[in-house]
Amino acid sequence: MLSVEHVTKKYGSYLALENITLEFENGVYGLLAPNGAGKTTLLNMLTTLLLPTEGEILWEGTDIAALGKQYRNILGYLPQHFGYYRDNTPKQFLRYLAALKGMDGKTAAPRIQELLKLVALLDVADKKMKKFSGGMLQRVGIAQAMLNDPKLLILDEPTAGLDPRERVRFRNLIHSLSQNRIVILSTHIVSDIETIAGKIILLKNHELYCCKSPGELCNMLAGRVFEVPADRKLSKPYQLLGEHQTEAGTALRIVCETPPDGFSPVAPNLEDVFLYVYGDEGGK
Amino acid sequence: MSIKMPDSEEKKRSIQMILEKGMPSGKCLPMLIPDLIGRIGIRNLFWGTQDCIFLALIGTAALAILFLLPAASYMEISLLGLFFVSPAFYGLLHLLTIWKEQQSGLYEIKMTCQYTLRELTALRMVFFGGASVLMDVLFVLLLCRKPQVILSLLQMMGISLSALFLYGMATLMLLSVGRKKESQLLVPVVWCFLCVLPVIWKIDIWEYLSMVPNIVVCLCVVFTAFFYYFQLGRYLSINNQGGIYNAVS
Repeated sequence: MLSVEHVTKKYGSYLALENITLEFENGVYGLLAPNGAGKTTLLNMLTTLLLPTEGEILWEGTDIAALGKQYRNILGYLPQHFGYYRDNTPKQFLRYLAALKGMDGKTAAPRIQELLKLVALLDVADKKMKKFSGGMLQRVGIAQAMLNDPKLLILDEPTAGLDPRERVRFRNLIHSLSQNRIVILSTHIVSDIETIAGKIILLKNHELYCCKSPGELCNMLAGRVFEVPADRKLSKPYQLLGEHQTEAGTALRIVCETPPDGFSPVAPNLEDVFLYVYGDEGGK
Repeated sequence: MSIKMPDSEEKKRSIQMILEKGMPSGKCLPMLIPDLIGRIGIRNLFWGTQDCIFLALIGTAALAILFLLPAASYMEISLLGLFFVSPAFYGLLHLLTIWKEQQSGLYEIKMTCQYTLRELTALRMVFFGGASVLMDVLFVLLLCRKPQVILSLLQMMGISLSALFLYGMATLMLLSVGRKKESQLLVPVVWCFLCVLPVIWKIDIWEYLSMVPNIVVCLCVVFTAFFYYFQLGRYLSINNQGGIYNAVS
């Protein structure tokens, strides 16, 4: 189990995160927040790349800073900006990182084959990565994060820059990897996690807003989300979530405490919750 | 009220941690370095740095031609050049490999591996130091051929090796405490300044150096090598916590 105990992070006088307390057990956790909310800062602390200013992070009851190599042995990490050696093939690159992760050649070789098959890159295992697309490179990234069969897998915005088809493939891959390990996946794209995350962590104003299942989050807005035609004038106060095209024209999706006349509530989704929680950031 | 007792797995982990913290480390530096190199592999240690090695060789050759073989053949300048150029290969390799690691985008991944960038950097420095010693022998042999050089071969080797270990020690000290990646430029800048000072102040140190007994020269090399070795061990033993600020910046 991974515990985050009253963690605060300051960069000089700038407060990045304040008093974050969380517990993680096996399963997928989605860290969902807009850009600049502190997702990468939190993940950097979980991966020992940054020290908390206050508080501690514990793995099985022991401070991860004290665990050192032991903690890094159970950790797999894919950073937001994933670098690679352009003239390396995936096999060469993974063999190199396997050595840095303490795996000997005999153990690494079959593991690399297995991972390249899992991420569907076996047929290009000996091609130089400078010819790879963004999606293929991200799959090499997930393969390197899985080399040591980590108990804790941390992925920082892994679907950034991927096309919709690649994002679906990535989601399915993460879902298949989530058995018997903790997977923490940060994103600002709701659809990346709404079907695979067991718990969603929301950060707001540098603090923890909530950590709930997608169903519980959607229940926060139960009975308060409505779809109204764009040309309808509303007398009651509301928060606009978004708009989309229907057969009858443009429809607005709104959150309203009291129902507009003649309209029934619709089922809220995770995107509604995201827009509702963060709607006041950067203006409505 | 019942107290939940730890299970056997938790007990084993706690005992393991107490032993690791309480008992002295099994391996001293002379055993630790070869052990780490054996586990990581020399090929993996220098993976992706071939271009840095090539550029460092070119740079060192250029500096050697500029400062060791000046057309005017002034003895003081040649010997100052020896002091200046002795750590050149080491310094260039170090700066270029650090810069490459920061540019490669693999910095964060490497800092979360079992063998981190800190350990890679320390081990590379052992090899850089060895290669630099060979270079310095070459430089000294080149200078020995000049008729106007008044220092003995041993004295010139002493200057060269002391300069190398002094530079290496300063680099390691800065790596241990430096928080910004730009801080790595401090040592080469200060080094250049130190080498220019005797020329600006017109200090004729070489005549005094020629009077220094060989035993003192040897002791100087031994001391600087020892402190370099000590700093290397200290750098290697620093915990990886706060990795971003504790690797190569």
